[in-house]
Amino acid sequence: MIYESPRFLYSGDQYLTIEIGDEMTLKANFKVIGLDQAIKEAKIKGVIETLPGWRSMLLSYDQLVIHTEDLISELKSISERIPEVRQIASRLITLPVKYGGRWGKDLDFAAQQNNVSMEDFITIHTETIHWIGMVGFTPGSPQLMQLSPHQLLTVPKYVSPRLYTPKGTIGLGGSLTAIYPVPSPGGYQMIGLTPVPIYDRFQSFDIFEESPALLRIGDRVKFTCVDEEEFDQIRQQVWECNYKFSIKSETFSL
Amino acid sequence: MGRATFEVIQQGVFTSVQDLGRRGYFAVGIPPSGSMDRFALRMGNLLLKNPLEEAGIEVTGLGVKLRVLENTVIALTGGDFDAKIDGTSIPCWHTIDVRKGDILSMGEAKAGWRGYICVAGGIDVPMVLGSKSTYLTGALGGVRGRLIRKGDVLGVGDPRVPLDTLKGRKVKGSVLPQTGGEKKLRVVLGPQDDHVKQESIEVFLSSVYRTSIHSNRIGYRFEGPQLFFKERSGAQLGGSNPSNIVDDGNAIGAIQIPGGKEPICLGPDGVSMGGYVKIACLITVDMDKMAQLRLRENIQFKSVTIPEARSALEESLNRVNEINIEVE
Repeated sequence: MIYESPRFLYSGDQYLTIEIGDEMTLKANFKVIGLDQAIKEAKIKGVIETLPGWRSMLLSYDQLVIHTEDLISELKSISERIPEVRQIASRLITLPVKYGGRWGKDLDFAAQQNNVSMEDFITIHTETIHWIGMVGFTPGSPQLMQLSPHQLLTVPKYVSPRLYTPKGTIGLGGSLTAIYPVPSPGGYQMIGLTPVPIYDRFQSFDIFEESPALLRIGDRVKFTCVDEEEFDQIRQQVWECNYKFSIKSETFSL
Repeated sequence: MGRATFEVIQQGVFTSVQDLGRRGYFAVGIPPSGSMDRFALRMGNLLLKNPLEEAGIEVTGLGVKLRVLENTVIALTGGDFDAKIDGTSIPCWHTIDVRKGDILSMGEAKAGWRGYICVAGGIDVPMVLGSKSTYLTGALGGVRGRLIRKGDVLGVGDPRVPLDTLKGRKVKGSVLPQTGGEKKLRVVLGPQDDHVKQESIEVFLSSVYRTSIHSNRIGYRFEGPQLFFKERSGAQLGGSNPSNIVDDGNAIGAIQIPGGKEPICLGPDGVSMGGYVKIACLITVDMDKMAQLRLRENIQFKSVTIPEARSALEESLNRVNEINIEVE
């Protein structure tokens, strides 16, 4: 559900958690994004940074500049003032994926769990557009939700997380798709691999100039299925820093 | 990279360059990082008349051995690693002249767990996203995004003052952190303490916990009694275990309790989000205390209010002041 009014919760003495609700929905996510924009525009003295998420936001502040209760009352008045956000700027990013194979070894299992063939699974996963509702855990890792699924793909997560997941792995856990930006442990079913970096600590491409993370909350992702040969070609282009990222600036309405 | 000043002969077990951290990238999952014991780094910089946020070397559990390539002045702060220069013991919280050819050697931590080697002018590595701090998961900052290792040559920036003005400076004993005794980590309850049974909150605040050996800059684990969650009504959002919630952002210092067992308190390299109930958060100033916990050391959690946390932080920041430096 979405609460009548946001809940302001202490997260220690230099962070606040602002909860909009407890549901993982586009509606809750839009409210968080709207609040995040309003807080950024308000430029409250002492606010250091915000971390908007599915249904809540973490805000870090300097308690020596602004006292917690004063901050909460400012945030309350902002949250009461903001109009309902129905449209936001949202980039559409296309990412090539090689489904199955060594680093998509759970594709068969994931398809079985959804009572579809592997081919149909790939069709469903590439036809739908995915919404980024939160970014993080590892640097630049997005959590993606199918936007208009004719079938919602759902799988259980690993019972015991694996120690190694290569960068670029596309994972499905519950109904969320994640992309692993750096090698890390992981618990999502591995369904494929993208040759395109979504985190680049060297900031080698222009697109990473502002941030080493490609994807942001409120962006959308479309996956396209590539075969081994296309995968290798793209990987070569990335290596030579002449891969052309496919990014469209659009707006998205609820 | 500034003047080549140190060559690493022994690297220790987890040695990295840290300043006071980077801000502004938490929204994409890049945590602040930075020195885990901030009082120690600031004090080292104050001794050397560096800006307080200047970068130093953080060692963990076992110190390093360095060859000095250029005359300079250093200060060792934080834990006691039995440091010697060419075999002669040198004190912590004190400026030390080192000369070309000297060997600085540190042993295992005798007291505390993290030590800082600060140097006049600061360790010179590139600023990455606004900070020199090493963040290993993202391979950012420090020496090429990694730990310091044997063979590295570390550069140092220009000192702010003539080196001879740093002679004999030391921190007054009365302002140094207490070592030994019963350790209390102060926390503010929340954001999800309302998911935990009241009896379990009392257990959390009254039990003795043991610092797990599985503790690092990402998170500290503590071994203690099982905690229990309130019954949940309706849909089990976020997962079937009662310790699950719909993912939200993690504060640095947030204490997660996956499955109600082994609270994990996030350190400066903590993960930015997760789907576990966070019963409480460590107060900012006590990150310094957690940084110095020895593995298997016993601690207790103590609940404080936000104003209490703020005065404790103010008090700690005020201690880093020239009035607390004396000259021998």
